[in-house]
Amino acid sequence: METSHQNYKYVEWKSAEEMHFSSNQWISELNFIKDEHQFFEDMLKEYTLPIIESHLLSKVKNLIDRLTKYKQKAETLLNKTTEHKNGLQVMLDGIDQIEEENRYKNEHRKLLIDVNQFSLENNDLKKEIFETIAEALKQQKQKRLLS
Amino acid sequence: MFDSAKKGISKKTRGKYISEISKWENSLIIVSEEIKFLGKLLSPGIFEPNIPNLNERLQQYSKKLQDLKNEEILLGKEIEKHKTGFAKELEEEQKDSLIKRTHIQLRKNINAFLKINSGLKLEIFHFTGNILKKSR
Repeated sequence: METSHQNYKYVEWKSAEEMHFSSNQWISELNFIKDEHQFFEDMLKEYTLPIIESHLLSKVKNLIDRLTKYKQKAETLLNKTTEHKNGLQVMLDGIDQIEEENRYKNEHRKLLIDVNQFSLENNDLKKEIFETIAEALKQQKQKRLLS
Repeated sequence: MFDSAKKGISKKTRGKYISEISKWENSLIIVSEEIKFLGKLLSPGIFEPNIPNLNERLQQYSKKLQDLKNEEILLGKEIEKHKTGFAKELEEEQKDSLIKRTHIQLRKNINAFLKINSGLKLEIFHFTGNILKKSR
């Protein structure tokens, strides 16, 4: 369906209202991702015994490092998106400012690409965290059954 | 699939709908993986002992997850049906009102589903995060 290409083209057609809606959606998604990151970090750091016993420690250390980077990325994107949302006035003031309006649309397009890309990478990281924790849980369960 | 569109739904709406449908499909794939993970997480042996009503709480969450899974499957089928209807209607170059109505309703259902999913996920995170067995 060539969605990503269409996504970027679609910005050309977005009204100020739609851009405002998208910005709010991104802010909400990024805030939720921050909550998720906190849970994953706590879990990976505190659920240490099963992780050590399942020999997944180096894998988990790598995940925690990446999670720390992603937390910073989410924060940066959240600040950028909030700033972008607050700058919407230029599209709504009724004054013709073609250059400023184009700049705003370009910024919106760039944010759309960045948020989508971040979301994809974050989902990959989440998947790896799920698999690692699930493996530790599985080994714990087997250990319990054998003891 | 949608290339044969000529009239009916405007180019703008078509682009928006195609993008939304793809996003919904991806969201459901992610939700499905999350449900699977959370299901594994709700296993009594990994939590601190002596938590009041632990088994009951875990069972309640498991039930809610199962309901969510059923809803996810149902929505997946609705999206597939919508995609077929969408392509057919575009090929026949009919008026767009029915497909628009279906799309808008599906959007409402999916947004409501994702909201419930996020709420339940956070609830399970908060509940399990505090009672996981710590390393001693």
